[in-house]
Amino acid sequence: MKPTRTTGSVIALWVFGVLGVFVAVLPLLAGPYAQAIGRSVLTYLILAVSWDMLIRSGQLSFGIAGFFGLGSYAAVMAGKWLGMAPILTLLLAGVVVALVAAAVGSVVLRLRGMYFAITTLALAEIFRIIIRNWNNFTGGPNGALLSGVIFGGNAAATYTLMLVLGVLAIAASEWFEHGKMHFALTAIRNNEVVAKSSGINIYRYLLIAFVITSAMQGVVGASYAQQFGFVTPESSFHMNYTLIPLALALFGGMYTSWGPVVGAVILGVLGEYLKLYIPYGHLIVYGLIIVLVLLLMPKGIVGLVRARMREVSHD
Amino acid sequence: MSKTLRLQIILGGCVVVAAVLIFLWKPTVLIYGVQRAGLYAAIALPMALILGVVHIVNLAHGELMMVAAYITYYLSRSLGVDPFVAMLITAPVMFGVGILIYKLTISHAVKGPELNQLILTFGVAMVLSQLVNLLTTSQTRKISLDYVTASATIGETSFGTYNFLFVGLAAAVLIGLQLFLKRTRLGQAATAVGQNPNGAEIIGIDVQRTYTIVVAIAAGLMGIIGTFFLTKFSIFPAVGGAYTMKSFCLVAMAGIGNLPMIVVSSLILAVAESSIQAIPGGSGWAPLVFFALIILVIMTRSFRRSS
Amino acid sequence: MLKIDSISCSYGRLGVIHDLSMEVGAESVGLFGPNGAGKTTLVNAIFGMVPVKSGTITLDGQDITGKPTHEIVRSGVALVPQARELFPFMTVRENLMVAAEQVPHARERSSETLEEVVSIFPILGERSRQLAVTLSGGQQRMLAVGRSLMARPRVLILDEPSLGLQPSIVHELFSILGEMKKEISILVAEQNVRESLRSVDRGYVLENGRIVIAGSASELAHDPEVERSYLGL
Repeated sequence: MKPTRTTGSVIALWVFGVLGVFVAVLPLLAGPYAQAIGRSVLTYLILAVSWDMLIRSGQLSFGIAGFFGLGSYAAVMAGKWLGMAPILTLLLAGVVVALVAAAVGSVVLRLRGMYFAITTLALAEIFRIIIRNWNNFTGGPNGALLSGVIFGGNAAATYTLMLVLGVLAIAASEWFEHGKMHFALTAIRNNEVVAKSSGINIYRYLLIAFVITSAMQGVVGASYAQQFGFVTPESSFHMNYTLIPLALALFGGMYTSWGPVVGAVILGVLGEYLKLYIPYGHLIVYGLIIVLVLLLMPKGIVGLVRARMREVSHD
Repeated sequence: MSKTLRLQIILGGCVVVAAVLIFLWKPTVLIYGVQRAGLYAAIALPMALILGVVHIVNLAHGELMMVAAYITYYLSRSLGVDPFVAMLITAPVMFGVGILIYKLTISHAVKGPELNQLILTFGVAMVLSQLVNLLTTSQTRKISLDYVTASATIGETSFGTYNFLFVGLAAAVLIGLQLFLKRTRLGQAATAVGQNPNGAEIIGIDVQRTYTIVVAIAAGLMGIIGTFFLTKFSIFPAVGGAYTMKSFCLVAMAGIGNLPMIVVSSLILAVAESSIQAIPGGSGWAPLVFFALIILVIMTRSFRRSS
Repeated sequence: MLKIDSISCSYGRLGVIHDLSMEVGAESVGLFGPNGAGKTTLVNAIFGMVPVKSGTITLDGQDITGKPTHEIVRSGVALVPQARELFPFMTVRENLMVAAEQVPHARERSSETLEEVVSIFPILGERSRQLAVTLSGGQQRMLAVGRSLMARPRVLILDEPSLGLQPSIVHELFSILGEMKKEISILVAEQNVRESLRSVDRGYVLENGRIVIAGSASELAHDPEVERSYLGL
């Protein structure tokens, strides 16, 4: 049940909202470098939000990189073979990945716990292997190149695109947080038997959640590929796309929309600096964050702030 | 019971027929398959111990092997000794690494939800592989040894014999673990802890100590297995990841807690893999068959449990 | 002798123990009271499974307060828990033997103890090669009691041993406990006061974490309060 809003939390919401708009618009004023960082932050933000949306049902996915890579390839192939306009390829990638997720999900969503988690890890690997071996269509191990990049490489335009996608992702996540969807996913996570007996069609809700979150990952992959104009099996399916979103969502706080967002903004910006100082193995930071957050603050930053706010309002 | 027995006999029969057919088709496929099965089984057995016996999920399993291989690599290069000599240091060091990883991380998630264990050990896996990446870069490393090129000829086919060592290794690990579980007090305690941690506590077992030592034993074994791996294969920071997945799937295929079946499941997967590789143009697809098969196996397993 | 000296502890919201003292000598002692009176909390506190805030617990003069569970068990206190907590996929014999293995002074005499346990519970001998999970509820309870005896304890504590058993088996169990008290100190936490009063020498009645009545078995049986609250009628 939702707590009633106190004056404190209304103020906090406004402060947060204004700050959010400011942070979102800032890169547009600050120039191409800030926009590049913003794009990268938004990429991981959407992946983190989508991962969190699924885990609210108790299903842990390690397959983010798989759908990301699939989306990347769908977009580049559509551009290369059909000459489709870049912005349309994002849409197509979303549809293709959604279809694949529906087909795969109808089988693997019957799995639970570690079985589901490890199967998703394997799925990402399967996608990569198929694409790597499908030489005459995908370009095989060498990947494929587009003749141009989206918006002719205009940084402000691509940033705006990512910003729109980010807002859409948060909206989708908020939709998952309310109404029937929220009730169903939370019920499944907390107690599947109870959920079943209360008449929730578990399988249907899991499938909807899986298809939507996978499609989100696919669209992000597509937009990423369109920004750089190329794909390769190794880079497009890189483990980073699973590791980093996980760390961001955990750091910000799982099971909320704003946790992954806060995590992505803080760590994303920090990560860009880290990359400069430790070019090799800067990813260790994300691994450490996962471990430390789980051990020391399992509810993440948002959880900490909420607990603090509750304390203040009680005083 | 009789139904599962009949199923097992049918399955066993199919495997034997398939093996004979493969042998008639290309003898080397079977030979390499058996060798590869040894490697898979050796790596999967320690995971079977901790996942199957005491029910700890460790997604950093393959990374432990990778770390061990790197330790042996640097020891043997800096001391100028054979990797198998360096292993005498690597194994105890890995035992210690196991204690450290358990105490620092897994012990805090042992009683919590399974999801936490999965995410936590996934994090540990990333820390280990990125730490090695940071210290040694992602460059591939290999030790060349003369004795690994040993080969034999039967009739007209000649094949490498060194990899049979993995079969011996798997057998040794299996026998050792079975003896440990059946014959030692600690092994019995581990079985008890796996079946009921509360019950184990009540009869006077130090449950935390048991978990610690079991994880340490698994890590120590990875010290040995990692060394064997290094003598034949190239290593790089991400080399372990695939083996975590393969091991998990072999354990799931064998049935959680069933150590001897690991050998059978390894044989099936390894021979299937080397068969695909033997088909012209098939080598790239071999891992796909593997993954498809394991998904199939996990699915049928979980279906059977839910029904 | 197990001596509990003014201990206080709490576990969750229910089951709080306030400044409670009691002792179990060479005898059988009952611990009675309604659900949530603190019986299980007290038992768990003795076994180090619930932290003790103040007070001490000693076994033959040796302080065992706050020691880890396995050390307490090894020093000579054994528990038959409410939920039995057997090892489902071990045979009856393995369940018994693994318990003897964990306690140094019981280890050398394990086969001798096994014979004794089987003579007390013949069914455990008959079913020795069967998996624990295949036993009936009553047989599992016998196995749980038998397993605790394998540690050759000085003090045996049973938490609601009659729970979920049919009356004839409860009766059998308590007559066995009545026999055993000649050799071991027994503390039995029970809701089935009528049946347990037949086998115990003394008893305590616990309410809201405090002892409200203490006395010999016959005193308790004739106490009007006990009669009204626990013996029905």
